Amino acid sequence: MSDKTIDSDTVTVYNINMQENEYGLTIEELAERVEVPVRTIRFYISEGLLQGPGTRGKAALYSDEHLLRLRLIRRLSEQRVPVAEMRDLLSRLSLDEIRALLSEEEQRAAELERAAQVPSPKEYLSALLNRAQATRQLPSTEKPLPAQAKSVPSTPYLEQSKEVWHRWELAPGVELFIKADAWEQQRTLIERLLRAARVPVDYMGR
Amino acid sequence: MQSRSGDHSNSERTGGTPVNVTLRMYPERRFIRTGGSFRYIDFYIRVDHVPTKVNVDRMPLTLALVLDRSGSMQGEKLATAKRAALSVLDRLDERDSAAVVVFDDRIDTVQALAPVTTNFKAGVRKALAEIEARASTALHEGWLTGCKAIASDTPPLRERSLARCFLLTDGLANVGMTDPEQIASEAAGIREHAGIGTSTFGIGNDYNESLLGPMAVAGGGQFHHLRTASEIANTFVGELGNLLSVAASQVRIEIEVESGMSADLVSAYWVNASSTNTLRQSITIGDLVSDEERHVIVRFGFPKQHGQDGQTVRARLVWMTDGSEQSSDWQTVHFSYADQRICDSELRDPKVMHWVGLHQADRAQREALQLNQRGDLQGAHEKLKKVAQEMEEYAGGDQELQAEVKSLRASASAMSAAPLPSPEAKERYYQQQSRSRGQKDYRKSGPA
Repeated sequence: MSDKTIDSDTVTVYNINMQENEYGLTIEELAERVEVPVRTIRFYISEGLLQGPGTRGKAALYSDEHLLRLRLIRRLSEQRVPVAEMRDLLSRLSLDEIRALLSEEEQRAAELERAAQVPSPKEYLSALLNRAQATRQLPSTEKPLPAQAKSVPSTPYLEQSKEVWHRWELAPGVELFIKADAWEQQRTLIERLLRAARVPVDYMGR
Repeated sequence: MQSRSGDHSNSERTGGTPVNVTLRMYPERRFIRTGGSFRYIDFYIRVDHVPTKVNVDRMPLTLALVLDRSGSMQGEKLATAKRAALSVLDRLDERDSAAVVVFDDRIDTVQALAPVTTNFKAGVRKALAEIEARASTALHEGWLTGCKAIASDTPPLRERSLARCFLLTDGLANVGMTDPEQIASEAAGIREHAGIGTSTFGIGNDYNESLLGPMAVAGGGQFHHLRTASEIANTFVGELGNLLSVAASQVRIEIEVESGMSADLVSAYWVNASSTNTLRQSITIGDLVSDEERHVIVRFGFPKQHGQDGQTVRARLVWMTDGSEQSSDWQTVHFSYADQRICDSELRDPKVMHWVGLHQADRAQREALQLNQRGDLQGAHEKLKKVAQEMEEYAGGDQELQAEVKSLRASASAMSAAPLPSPEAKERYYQQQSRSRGQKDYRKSGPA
């Protein structure tokens, strides 16, 4: 089987087994790598931003340097840098300087992309507040618990539930759940429990 | 860099004024046992600042005042809280912005975020005059509403003002979320993601200091225990004065250890583990003013020796100045494995152990108080006794540490007899936390 193919669109003949570092990239491969159209690359060449390929003809090939320059041109173009300014800049930079500048620009672009995915402070606070409002519970204890128990509030918890339960936090990690319809029936017991929860446990008989 | 301490300073400019922020790492000893050891490091932070006129060069402030208007605030407490809020606003100007929120079981934004102009102040005065005490305490939602009122639409790193929420309450949170650990976690998240710090003011004997204290620690702010209504104004104004003098904001220490090591924070600060690096932790210090210094004590655990000659602890300081994040270079302290004879003969650095002792005592008192208040009298007693014994071993001729040991023993006796009365428990908690964090007490005197 031949290892050469013919691209019917461009009538370019290229070797599919070609090693990039040995032979370079075709304009199509270059376009694919940098994700710009072929016609854009030809435009950049015509504007003097990019040199033409090292070889002529249908199998014209582009080097790693072309690839680097083109990636940088793309980054600068995203920032709306005028063509003339890009031309001037690129004409003054060595290959190492292009690499360094490209690295900076790509890092900056990555940071901007990350920042765009991070919620703003207002969005962050809105999410917290929405969650707090959505799961608002009953008062967990009165403040402070008086000698005679106060009547408990009747706002139900999770109105969308079939059963309504009231939650009281007696201490960190200790909670009392009371079913809504048990309030009146068990009021004496409930008040005793809540009062008792405010009295410290007497360890060691002291 | 100085050879012993790994000193590193960074000079950054704030509105044309140099800000020098220094981190030094002082280990108690340098040798560690081949079978494993614990060692303390004192992370010393200092902010130098060329004195300037505060009102000329200071950072603008974005402030949320969140006031409890629940039923128990009726009378003098609410009246004084309102006066204190107005005192704070009177000291701000158009560079600053503020919002005012009141809460009971409903949350009302009395004044949305706006520059603190004369008209703004008059508007708040009029609005607050109409606020009366009402029902229960939706502290969590009230606080979040205040924070949201001052949250910006742009990332906090681009903001060039200091954002803080002042939360004043006299009672237990009893509506909405009430879990102290969850709320403290949210305070840490709000500080990190929204750049908004939280300072808490608990008034009287009924609020939960185990909620307000950690909220402020995690939120990079300060917790204040107010014994009477008359202390509200001084403390509000004192805290404000602190904010108006901030030279380095959102200060944190980032610490990296080696695999197998542990790090236990002794001082009263909030620690975050890194989500991407399990060997890195971040300790939230908060906002620092000119000439301020802090000691942060961490105890490191070292594993048994497995061929390596030692272990390394790295740290750096990160903070905000002029709206941009600054950091010091990473510093390193190396600990070398050695045999028992060498380890035993190495003396502990007395200056380091002085701060270790004070912070250990503070932590023990705070933890014992919580046990005591929950009814675990035996647990409180044992904790204090244990720490007193440890401190006796290294206190030596340090008179302040010796006095601390006596105080711990006295507390152990007091706490084993009965739960401390709430006023005393709160005052002790406040004193210990304040000392550990180098915090000023503004209750009687206001700002210095």
